[in-house]
Amino acid sequence: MFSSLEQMINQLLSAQQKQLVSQPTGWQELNPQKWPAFNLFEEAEQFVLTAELPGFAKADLELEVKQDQFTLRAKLPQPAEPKAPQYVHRERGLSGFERSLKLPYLIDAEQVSAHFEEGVLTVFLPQHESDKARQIALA
Amino acid sequence: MTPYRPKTDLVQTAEGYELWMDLPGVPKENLSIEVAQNRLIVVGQPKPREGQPVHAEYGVGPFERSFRLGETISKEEIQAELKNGVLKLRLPKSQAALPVEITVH
Repeated sequence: MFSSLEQMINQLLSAQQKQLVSQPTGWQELNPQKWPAFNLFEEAEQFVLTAELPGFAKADLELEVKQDQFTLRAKLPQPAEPKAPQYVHRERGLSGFERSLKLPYLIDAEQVSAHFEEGVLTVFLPQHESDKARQIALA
Repeated sequence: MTPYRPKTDLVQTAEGYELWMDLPGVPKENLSIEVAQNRLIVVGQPKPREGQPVHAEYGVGPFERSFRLGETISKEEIQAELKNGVLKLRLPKSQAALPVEITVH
């Protein structure tokens, strides 16, 4: 028999919850949804977004870019077995979702790229040329 | 921010049990699964993106979870599969531990 799952209350869990790193100016959450979890990186003239999506397949995910807005949508993945699993212990949960963000610049929709590896989605959201600062030479 | 602690389900199957663990961002080479005596130990490290996030909602750090295996699990037959960031461990019971149907003559 398998004894009740012993939950390792390890250093990860006991580690004090770190405060959110300050939000970049202009970042705006468009719906209160906080799932899936996003991390956002700032690079030269682009933001890079990563999202944890274990159990989803590429085909379940839908990405959309419109002006300064990015939307990630997913439908519920199809279960591998038609029969409902007999859970002894359950922590994981999967559901469809939609999450939108507004970035502090116009996104260059043509240049957006994304990849999905090991259950992590990475999206590159470059700033549109027309929205970049321009240096004006003095005559 | 949520620290990295893989969420785990335990499911009963006809042949024993299955353990399903969310391991987003953990490549095969960063994962070790060990059975020592009656303990099943899963240790791993997700591959973080370089650089410091300006906004962080999840943590990416090393983790370890361990579970006690019962006597009936056939340790030699444990199988592991990692797909789309989910680890599936098949934990079959040994033949001797499976129920036997007895026919009445």
